[in-house]
Amino acid sequence: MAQLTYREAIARGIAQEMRRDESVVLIGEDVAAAGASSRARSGCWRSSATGASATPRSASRPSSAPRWGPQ
Amino acid sequence: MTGMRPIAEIMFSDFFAVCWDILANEIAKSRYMTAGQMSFPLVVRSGNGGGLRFGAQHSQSVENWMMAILGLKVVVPSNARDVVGLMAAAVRDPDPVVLLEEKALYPVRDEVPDGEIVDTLGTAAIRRHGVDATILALGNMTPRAIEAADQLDGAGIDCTVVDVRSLVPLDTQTILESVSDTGRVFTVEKNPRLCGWGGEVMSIIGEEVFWDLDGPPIRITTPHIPLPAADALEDFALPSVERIVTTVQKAMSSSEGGIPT
Repeated sequence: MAQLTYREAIARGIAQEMRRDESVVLIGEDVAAAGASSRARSGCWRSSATGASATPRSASRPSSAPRWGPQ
Repeated sequence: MTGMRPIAEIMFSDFFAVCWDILANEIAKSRYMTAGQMSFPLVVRSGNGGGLRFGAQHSQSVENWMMAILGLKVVVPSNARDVVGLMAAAVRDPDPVVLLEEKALYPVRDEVPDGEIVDTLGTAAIRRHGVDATILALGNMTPRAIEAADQLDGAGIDCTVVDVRSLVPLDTQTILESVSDTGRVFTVEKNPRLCGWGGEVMSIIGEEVFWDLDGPPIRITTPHIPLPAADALEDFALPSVERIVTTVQKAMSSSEGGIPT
């Protein structure tokens, strides 16, 4: 049992599915480097083999993440 | 369509309006337009709702927009555990699913069990069992409804709280069974009152279990206004614990409410 914030749970849910299934990718503005506006950030990046690139439209693997308002 | 299962983030759910054609006309209809030959296993996740002083263009609760589009499924987790379970269910679904994240809940901490968590789309969750009235809530209105129910319990009104969780598909069985049991129903909706999700749910309740009701169905909603950014006004517009408590109390104590004696 872990104590997770709602935001951390987003990253965990996405990570759970990406680990299970190679075809799952995350796309969106700044989702990789900045963790997007929700800061439900992704930690490591999918390799370029998937065709994803580290641009504002990027794909990535999530870990956990910080911040939106007070913690 | 090409074998990938993308999860796409739209930063604020208000911006669904920017991608409305591709989402509402193309993505949502792809299975139909290809006579079932193609599925589109896409999850679109987006921060939804107000309470954070972001103003009328970054605070909207658009669950009612999303559920109006044929071909989209719509889920709204109310806690960290359900985020994982509903995300997994959405990713594994063969068709497009919109997962609305509650911006106001991002920092809220909850217990999440270890190991894989997978929920089923179209399942509501009963968060509190009571005998006097059913409160239907969605997303971050669920913790408020539970807190209100705890206060109402102190005043002698024992409420069931149903976390609707999934608007499309809708768990009508859980909702109707609870309403039939208690005989009174309230919705707590942070989407605007006009065409809010509760209007549709209440119409189903009216059609299916009208004769089990002991009083009028009552919706507790945000008024049909652009959400103000000013602290006091935004708090006033969104359903608060206090407003839930007073609305339920008033309805349950009114003689016109038809409380059985």
